[in-house]
Amino acid sequence: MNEGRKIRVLVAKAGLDGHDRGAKAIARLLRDAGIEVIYTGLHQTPEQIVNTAIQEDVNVIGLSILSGAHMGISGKILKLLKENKAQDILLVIGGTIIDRDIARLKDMGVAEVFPMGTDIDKIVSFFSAPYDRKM
Amino acid sequence: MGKIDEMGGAVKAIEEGFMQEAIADEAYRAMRQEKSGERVVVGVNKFTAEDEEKEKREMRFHEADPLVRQRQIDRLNQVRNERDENAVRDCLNELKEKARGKENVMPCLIKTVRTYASIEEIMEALKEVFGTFKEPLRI
Repeated sequence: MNEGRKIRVLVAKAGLDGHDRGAKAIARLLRDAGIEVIYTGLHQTPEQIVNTAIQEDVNVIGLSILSGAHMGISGKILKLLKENKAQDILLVIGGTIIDRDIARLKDMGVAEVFPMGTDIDKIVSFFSAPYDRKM
Repeated sequence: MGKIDEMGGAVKAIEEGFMQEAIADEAYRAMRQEKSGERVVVGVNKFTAEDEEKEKREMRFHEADPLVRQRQIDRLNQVRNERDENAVRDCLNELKEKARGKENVMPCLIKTVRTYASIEEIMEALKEVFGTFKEPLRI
């Protein structure tokens, strides 16, 4: 991907987790930082999220999870990205993620994790950095 | 309130995403104000514990037994095999009929639950009648 081209981010909510306050706030934060943002809405399956990500040609999926189901859902999304030969789409997780799971998620192939209390400047700078990260 | 009346009432306002957008805008404003310090949240952006103290507090997390999931699936399958399928189907059909009318569906709902219809089956039946709410997606 060329440097300088705007990156596109899919902000996603999966499963029965209905806490969308953070997802919507982050979507606005990224939008105001000049990033193209698409929001899936609530109650998406991993299949729906990956399909939307591919159809919308995004660079990053920003998955918001506050239900505790992050290990399972992240694993499914990464597997589906692989099956669809779309591993160039990065998966980033935000939400109530405990320290122990951050390392586990990264081992699985999650590009970055933003647990509760993350400085919002850190999130913006992650998405604003030149897009050269490949898994 | 005047604005909501103008839109045609609260239900219309929710359908059009007005309320959801107002809540999300406020959440975003709060997030930025907490960041700038304009909005003080004790323990978050003011009077926070020193890192040293944090390290002293050890937290232990409950780890769910991965077998719990399979056990529950097995139990559900067992219930499905042992229940009276005809009774389940009849009740679900009756529920749909009642849902189309004006009658209180609660007695029928209780009857349906007693046949061991699953929540999913009951929800699907009601969805056939009422549909599901699709939130307008605006950022």
